[in-house]
Amino acid sequence: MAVCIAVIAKENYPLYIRSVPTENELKFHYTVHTSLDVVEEKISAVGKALVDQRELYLGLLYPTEDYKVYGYVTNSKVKFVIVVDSSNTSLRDNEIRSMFRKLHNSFTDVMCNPFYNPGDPIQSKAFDGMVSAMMVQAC
Amino acid sequence: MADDALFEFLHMEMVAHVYKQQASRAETEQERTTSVSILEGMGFRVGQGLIERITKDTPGFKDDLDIMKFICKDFWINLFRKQIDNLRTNHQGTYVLQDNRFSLLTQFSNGKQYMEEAPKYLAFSCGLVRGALCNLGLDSVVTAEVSTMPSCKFQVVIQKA
Amino acid sequence: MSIPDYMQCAEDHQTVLVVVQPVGIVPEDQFFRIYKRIASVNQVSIRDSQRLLYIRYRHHYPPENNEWGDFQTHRKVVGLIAVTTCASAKEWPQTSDRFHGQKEVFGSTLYDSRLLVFGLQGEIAEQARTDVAFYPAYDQCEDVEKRVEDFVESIFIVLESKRLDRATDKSGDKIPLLCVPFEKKDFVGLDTDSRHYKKRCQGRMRKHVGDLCLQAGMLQDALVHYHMAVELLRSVNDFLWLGAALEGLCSASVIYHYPGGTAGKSGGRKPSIAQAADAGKRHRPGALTANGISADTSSEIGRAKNCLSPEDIIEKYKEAISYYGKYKNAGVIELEACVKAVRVLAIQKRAMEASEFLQNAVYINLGQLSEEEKIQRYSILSELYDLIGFRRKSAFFKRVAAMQCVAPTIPEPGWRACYKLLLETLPGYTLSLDPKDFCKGTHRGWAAVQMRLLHELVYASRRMGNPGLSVRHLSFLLQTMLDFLSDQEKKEVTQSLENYTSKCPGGMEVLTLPDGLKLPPVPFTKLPIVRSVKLLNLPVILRPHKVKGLLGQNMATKSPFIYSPIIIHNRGEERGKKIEFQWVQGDVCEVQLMVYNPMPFELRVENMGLLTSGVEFESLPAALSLPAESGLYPVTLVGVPRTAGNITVNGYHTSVFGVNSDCLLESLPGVKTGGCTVEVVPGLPRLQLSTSLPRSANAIQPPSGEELSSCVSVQLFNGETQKLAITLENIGTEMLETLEVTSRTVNTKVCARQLDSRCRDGLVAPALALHHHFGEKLFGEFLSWDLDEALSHFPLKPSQVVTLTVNIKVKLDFSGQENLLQDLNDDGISVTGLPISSPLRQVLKPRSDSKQVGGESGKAEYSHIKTLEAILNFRYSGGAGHVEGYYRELSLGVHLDVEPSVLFTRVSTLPATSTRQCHLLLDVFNSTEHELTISAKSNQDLVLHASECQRMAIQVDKFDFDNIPEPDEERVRFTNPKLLQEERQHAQGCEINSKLDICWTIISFPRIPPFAHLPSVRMQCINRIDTAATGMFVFLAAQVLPVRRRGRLAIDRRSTGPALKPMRLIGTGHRSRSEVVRPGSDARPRDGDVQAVSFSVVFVLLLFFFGVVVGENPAVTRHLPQTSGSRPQRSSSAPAERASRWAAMFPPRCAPPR
Repeated sequence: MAVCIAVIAKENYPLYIRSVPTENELKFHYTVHTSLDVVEEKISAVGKALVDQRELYLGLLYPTEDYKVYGYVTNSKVKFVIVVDSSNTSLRDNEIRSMFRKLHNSFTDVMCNPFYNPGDPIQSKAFDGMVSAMMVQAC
Repeated sequence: MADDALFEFLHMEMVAHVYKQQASRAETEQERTTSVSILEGMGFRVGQGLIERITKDTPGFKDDLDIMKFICKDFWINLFRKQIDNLRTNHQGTYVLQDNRFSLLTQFSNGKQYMEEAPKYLAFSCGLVRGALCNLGLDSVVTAEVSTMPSCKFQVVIQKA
Repeated sequence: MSIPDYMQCAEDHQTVLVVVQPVGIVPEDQFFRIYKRIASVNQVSIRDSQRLLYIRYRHHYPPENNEWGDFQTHRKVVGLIAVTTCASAKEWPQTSDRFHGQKEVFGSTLYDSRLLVFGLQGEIAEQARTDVAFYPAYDQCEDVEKRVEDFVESIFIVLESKRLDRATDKSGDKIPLLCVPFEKKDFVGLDTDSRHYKKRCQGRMRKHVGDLCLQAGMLQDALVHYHMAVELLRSVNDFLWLGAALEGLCSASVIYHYPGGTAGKSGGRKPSIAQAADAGKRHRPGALTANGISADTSSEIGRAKNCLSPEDIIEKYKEAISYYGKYKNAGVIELEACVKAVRVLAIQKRAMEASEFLQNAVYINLGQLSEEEKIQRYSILSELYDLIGFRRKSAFFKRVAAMQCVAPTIPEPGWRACYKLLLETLPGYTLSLDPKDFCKGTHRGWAAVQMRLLHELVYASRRMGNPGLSVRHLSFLLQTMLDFLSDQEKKEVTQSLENYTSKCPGGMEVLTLPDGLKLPPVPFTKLPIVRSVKLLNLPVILRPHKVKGLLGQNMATKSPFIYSPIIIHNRGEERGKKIEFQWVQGDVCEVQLMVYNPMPFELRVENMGLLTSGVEFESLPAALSLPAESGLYPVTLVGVPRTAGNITVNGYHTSVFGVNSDCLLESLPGVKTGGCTVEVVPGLPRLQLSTSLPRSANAIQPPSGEELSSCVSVQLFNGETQKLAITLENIGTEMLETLEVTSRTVNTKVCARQLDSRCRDGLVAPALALHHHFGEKLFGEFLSWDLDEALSHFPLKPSQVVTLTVNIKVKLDFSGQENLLQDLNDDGISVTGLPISSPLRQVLKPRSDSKQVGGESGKAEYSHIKTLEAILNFRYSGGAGHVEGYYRELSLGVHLDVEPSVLFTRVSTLPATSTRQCHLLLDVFNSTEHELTISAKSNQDLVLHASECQRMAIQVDKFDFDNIPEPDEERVRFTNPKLLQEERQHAQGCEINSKLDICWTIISFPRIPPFAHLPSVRMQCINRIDTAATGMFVFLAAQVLPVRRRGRLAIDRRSTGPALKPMRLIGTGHRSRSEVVRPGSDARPRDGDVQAVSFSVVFVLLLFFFGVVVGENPAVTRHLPQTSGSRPQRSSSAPAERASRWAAMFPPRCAPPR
């Protein structure tokens, strides 16, 4: 279960960011924002390192003491970032991958919606619903 | 396979509709350019969405050439059920995609007849290619030309920002 | 060792550390000057060998760091240079002692020391000592560098000796165990003889030797030693020293691979010539070095085969750091190692791994760090992240450092430092402080984060004590982030803004910070949002009009071409378009803005005015209050241009929440405007007019849609004259120099048959022109005035007044000819053959099929009132505007309601006793509500009650029309014959009029009778008839003329005939008319010559018009309307008697009253 999910556009501004309501939601903003550095580095590194693994899943971006940050980039350079709690060790890589898959599917649907302009914040309810299902249930 | 016909008919009607709308307004010269840009704009948006869907499962692209190859193969197959027959490039950002039997033109003629109408029916496809490339991170200018029906050439010039 | 040295790099491992310290009191600036000079000697090439010695200088070094000198030799202080001031020989011993004392501090590791004494002269100074140098003054020490070099060489000697000493492998002897400070207690009581222990000692010593070699400039040897040490220490799992050995290895390799240094921007050291430019290229596999050798193989060729490859360096660093990590006391070492590794990685451009190292570094626990140290740590982290290109992380850590600066535990929070650091974080968040970057396109960056940052900036600047900065930042926040603020936040932000601006109002100047950063001004372009700007024309009475001169004169200001297609295509921007109308200097002009308020509460805008250029403009600021989230409201900004020229409205300024903003229209692309440049005409005078008559409620519709400044309304009886006194006051500031008055009539009632194009030709003389107009036949001069009297007062100074008197004379045709025509058809009354004309007939016999010809005139007949409208136009000019050819116009509308007064219903003549005279019998009908008195020149007065008809007789000379001048040939040819005819008749009419001089008077009560159309209280006058009525006399003339022509002869011939002759003559004419009109009528047959002279209907019908002259008012009597039938005839003279007898035969036809 994620603590914060963000969708970031090609130009590195957020299209969608949703986090578990806490006192300081802004810290998630910061975390995701700084993780973009790592994401960019990874993307550019792929080209240089001649790594054949052109995977969309970027894996663990960086760990902080409280959270682990995972990244995923689509072919259209839209980035998904999931922040999970560090203490949640039961979450395995596969699960994270599947979460990203679902995100990507939903995002594609949003993209194909003719009423959606690429570059606008995502306001689709279906997308919202899918994300809520993935988030930690706040009690 | 009725699917092909669906899109072809829709496309034909789309072009006719746009031109009919425009014809009620301006003179012919302006009408042509505006209609073409409307069609191209439509294609652009569709291309963006399509590429998102098609590349959902494919791994990343290495470079521009890789992207163009993808367009020629998977993208074209997805749209027109065939590949691009010939891809040429000058390695400096210009690519020419040649399709010897472009499915939207096959019903016109097999030679020079209706040549002047052809560009109208290529505008949407140009937009498709441009939208797809844009979403993959490449700004480009796409134009099309027809020398003999039903073969046509799409010329893509990648804009270096 | 608690303080990490973040600036340390891998190549520092080959340096020797020299501390330069002041002894006693030394002026700081002097000390640092000397220090700089000393520090410039950082590379000394040793004599007789090819080795280079590198020196590191510090002016402050904590002694506890020295204890790690065995661990890594570059950490220990080997040289001490003391600087002191000694003024006199007396102080010398003291100074010397102090020096020795300082030496003791580092005594255990010191190789050599020097003392530089400044200011001492005398014999002590003459002593030539190696360890002390005397200089007379701070600026007289040219050989300081030389001395330092010597000093370094002496250090080198010691170093070499130590190295050689340690390097020789005395495996047999006891090798002392080198320790780090915290290890010492661990090794107490350990068996010193075990192989394990021995190996440990050996390994450590080997590593130490390696360090010394490195310091001594022997790179290859160092590498060899390090390799050996690594193996040794690995076998004994001496992790700390293993790590040190690995690190040493890495350092040596780094020194080899990157001779340019890894310190980044600062501290670059001069690379040795042998390995010049390939340092930066090594990381790229497959690339070639400068001399064409593949970088991968270059590490194999040559001497440095023990050197690590660049990738290996990083591996080894990782390993070393992991070993360090096992010892919590080695935190500083670990941290420094991380930093060094990161620097290397940064050069290798391997940012991902560098970030990992840095990530690790963040979490190294260094124990209790002071706040200062924490700040330094975060700042360094931020710099390092910046070095590897992680801008956002860098910004993040810088922000953390800024927050640390003002942590609650700090007794004196460094707000200034905090603010400075926060400013530096802005680029990392794509936040620039220039509002222009935010007005186009989508919002850049993360809005939530940016808002937070701005809030922090505001807070920091406020605590810093600079309210101006707070205001600037807060206004920036409001301006750029307006779309992202919630309603609550908007309220809060504006409240705090108001709070701050009460202390320091916001302005448009560029704020410059002490470090040079400029904060651009932030105008509030969204509070309120302006959608369009429109320049308004002046009110009609103030508009300047240009005198239409000759073509040449006008064109002098424009191009020489009358028409040029090129000009048409010259469409500039809409904004640059010049507006058609003009403004006048000195008069208030307006600009209308449509504004919208986006805030969820009421917005108060104070001091809203215009920004203009081109002309001196006095802006009159406005204050407004806009309700929440609504618009568009029109706001009118006014001002007065003080000079003439072309004025351009550039924008507007507002003061909102205490912040002044100047918003220029060119930076607001969304504003619609139809042109911003207007010509300002030089000043013109202003005229205000007031009239003696009251203002009218009903407005006159001027034909071309122009506006009237005022309108007066008069109700008159037909034939009455009224004076209208117009007072003109110069209420402007310019002198009134010229004045022109013109008038024209306006009438919307169009009677098709009476359309007369003659007046439009303009060929008719003005006096007559007023006779011919649409609809109504007007006789005589309607409006007349004498301007000369008024003009004699000119030029009119400001606040001077001049009066112009306009005479209004109205003479209308109340006959209702068409109706009469029809009446005649039905009636067949005309007893004497003369038609009965009375507008009241309509009332008598209302027709079922009331045929109206010209609807309005019919209605007018019904209501007995005709209206006449005219416009008096005043054109005036003066002052500078007059020189340029401009004038202003005022128009006064005159609305007249004319009531019928007296009508002649019948005319007949009787011969008089003398042949030169005749009696004129006139049936007069009083169509007013009042009692009338009619008097003729030589007659008794006849009193008529309301709606009463009576006959009066006047004895008069026969008319002689010889005096009427004939028009000249020219005119005859060019003028319409009809017009000529009319003119002639008019002239004749005037002649008749002057002879008869019939006038009527009404004496009315001051109380206004209940009939609305009756004139007002002013009718305390006796109205006289001025018999200049055209109709009657035209008729008469018509009748008489043929009489004259023939008549004179006829009269002469028939002068002895029966008395009825003239009647017959008249009847003759009449019969012809009746023949024309109704061939089958039962008109009495007449005999006599019938002269088929065709007259227009107008001439035949008996219509009499009377003019009115205002006279005195003796008394007032109330008069009740009476029924007709009374015939109070008062006749005096014999002819009159006869006339009256005759009259008795033919009672006057007048209708009973209504």
